[in-house]
Amino acid sequence: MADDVQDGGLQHPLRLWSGWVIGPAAWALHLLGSYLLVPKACEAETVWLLHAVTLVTLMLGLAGVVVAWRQWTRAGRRWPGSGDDGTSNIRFMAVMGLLISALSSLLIVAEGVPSFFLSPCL
Amino acid sequence: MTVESPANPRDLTDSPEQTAQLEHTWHSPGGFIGWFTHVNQRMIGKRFIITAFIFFLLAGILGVLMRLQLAGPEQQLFGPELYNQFFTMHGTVMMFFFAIPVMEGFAIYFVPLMIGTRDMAFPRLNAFGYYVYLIGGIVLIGSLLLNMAPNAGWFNYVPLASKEYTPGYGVDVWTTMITFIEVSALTAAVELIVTTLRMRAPGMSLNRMPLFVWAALVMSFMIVFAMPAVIVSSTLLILDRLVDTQFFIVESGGEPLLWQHLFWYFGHPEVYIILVPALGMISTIIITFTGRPIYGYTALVLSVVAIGFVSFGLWVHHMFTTGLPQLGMSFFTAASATIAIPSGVQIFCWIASLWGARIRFATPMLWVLGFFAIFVIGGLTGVMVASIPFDTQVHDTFFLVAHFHYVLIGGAVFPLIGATYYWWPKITGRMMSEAAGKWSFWLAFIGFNVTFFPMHQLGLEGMPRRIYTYVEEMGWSELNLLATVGALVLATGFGITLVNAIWSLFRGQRAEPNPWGAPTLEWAADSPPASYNFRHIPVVKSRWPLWDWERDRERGVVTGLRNDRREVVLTSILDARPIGVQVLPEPTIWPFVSAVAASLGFVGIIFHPIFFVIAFFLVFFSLVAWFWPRRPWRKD
Repeated sequence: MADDVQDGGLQHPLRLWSGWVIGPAAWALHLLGSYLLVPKACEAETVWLLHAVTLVTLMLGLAGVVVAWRQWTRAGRRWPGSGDDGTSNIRFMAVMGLLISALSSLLIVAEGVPSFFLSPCL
Repeated sequence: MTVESPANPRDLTDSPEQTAQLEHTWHSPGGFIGWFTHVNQRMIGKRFIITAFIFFLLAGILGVLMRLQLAGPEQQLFGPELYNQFFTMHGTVMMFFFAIPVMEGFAIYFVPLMIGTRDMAFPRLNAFGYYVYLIGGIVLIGSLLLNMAPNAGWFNYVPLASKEYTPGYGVDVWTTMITFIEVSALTAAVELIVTTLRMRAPGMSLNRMPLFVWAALVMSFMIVFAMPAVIVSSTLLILDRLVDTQFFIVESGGEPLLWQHLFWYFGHPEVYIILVPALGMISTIIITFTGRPIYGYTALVLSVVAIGFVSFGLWVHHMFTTGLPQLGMSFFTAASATIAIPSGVQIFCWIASLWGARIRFATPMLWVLGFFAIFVIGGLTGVMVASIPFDTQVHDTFFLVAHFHYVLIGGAVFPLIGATYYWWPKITGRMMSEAAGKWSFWLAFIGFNVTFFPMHQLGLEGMPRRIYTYVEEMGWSELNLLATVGALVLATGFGITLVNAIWSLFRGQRAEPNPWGAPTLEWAADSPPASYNFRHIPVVKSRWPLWDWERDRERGVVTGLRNDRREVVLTSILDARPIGVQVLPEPTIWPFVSAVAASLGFVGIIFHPIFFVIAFFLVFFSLVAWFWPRRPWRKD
């Protein structure tokens, strides 16, 4: 465990932003991609294009969750405090990244649901 | 530069001469000319705050005038043309010239104090941003006096705002002034981002940063991503109007909806740009007046960050009645509903923080509690209008007017007034009257609800926005009269705070450095702070440094910074380890000259394109003078 904590402490600082960036980027891609593809889906008379966008970006969003989860695990999976132990900062960044990517994935799912019920030609 | 831990910073060997030298180094010149050379962050922040509140007063008067006009059916206080100018100016001034600048002003003033540094990263840019804002505001208000004010609504839709349907200078003035305010906001945002990430006191890692600083950081990133869209849209519009480009003209292949997309891509985050710093103010006030650490620091930071990015995915909900594909719009419904999650998390964290605490019901806390009631109602109607069928029914009615005033006044202005009471002793060194503060709060709270709650019903009864009068048979008279009475009570409430503020400057009780017993660093400085903010840059070991110092009777400080030049400590982004020293520039008049030159171009281009060329060269020369390098043989 001590080695894990140390390993977490040695991560490059920029990597700690991964969860912060991957999730929102996936969600932004989903929103814009889906929005732009609605007319195409109407022309092609199929919604699979939209489902595919949802699936791919959801995988990306979940990848953000996984990356942040692994960072959190390496830093000792405890809720981040404000202590002086050197890893609380890393845990803070990892938990934030984890939850931001999780919320982004939830957004992708929420935005993916209407494609099952509404015609793109309406 | 070293880090030491004396029992009291005064224990360090500071002779009065050294302190006087430091004071002299950070001193802002006096006199009329000197006023235009100030670059210290507190000077600029204070100017932003005062100027923004003057605009609040002016736009508020316009609001009251509109309410008087609508108090009864077929009133003829003023005609439709002036009414159009009034509602356009009321919205534009409130959103662009009050709400954003006042939040920036508080951030500029308090972020450096809260993170324990002496100034911001680019002090001269800060000054430039203020002057651009000031000149833009003066020109906009001047246009109203010259009967040249914009009159196409604060979101200035094309084709109404095109040259064909709105000739004259009004819309040109609007587009130009928007560019002014965007430039100003962008400079402040860049300042705040760099300052927050690079100039925090040693030890203030990201997970110890005060919640208001987090909020200001998120606000700044939102400004950077949102503002360019409106700069682009207003530039395209002025090109359509001045040199006959066809970006928004349907007959030539242009697209009016492009305006709405660009505007609302900025416009919706704009609402949150105003709201997010207010959320930081609320957390700050709750911590101080419950006297204990906030519940769910990480969850609160997460909520603010999440609100920041989700707010960029909502803009189409302003366009639900424009005939876009239903499936496309439903994506934005989903995002609009989801933003209630982080907002709700915040509310629950605050409730948990208040639960069982010994709350001091001082004036700042009252305004925060008022926020809860009003903002929750605004949030609920927000979830209602996120639904396309409901939105289609109430679109362009007074229901919307009620909704966004609940969100903006409840969500931003109430916390802002609370924060003004809270930080007033730090800014001025005087306390405002608590009794007057409480009168002000209750009148504003009652007046607000009496004004805006009936508007929900008026909207449901079909009363449209932006009509200058109505006939008695519509049955809207009683509720409109009630709303007008409420507006007068609301104005009286805010007026008491204004009088209280002015009174306190002369008669207010003198403030201690930390009159509220708060835990954040701004209260470690004198009230008002000395020109250098902190005699020694503090070192931080938790989220609540002042409570630590009180408990441990010991505080860490940085020593070794020179007194004879403007030095600040630079620290690493994540964990705030000291990594260097930056020397900041001294007062200068060139940011002011640059702002005047740029303004000449912006305003002049409305009348003739040659002004653009003239201003280009003037700005170039002023920037050369601004950036003239220090002589290498000088010791600094």
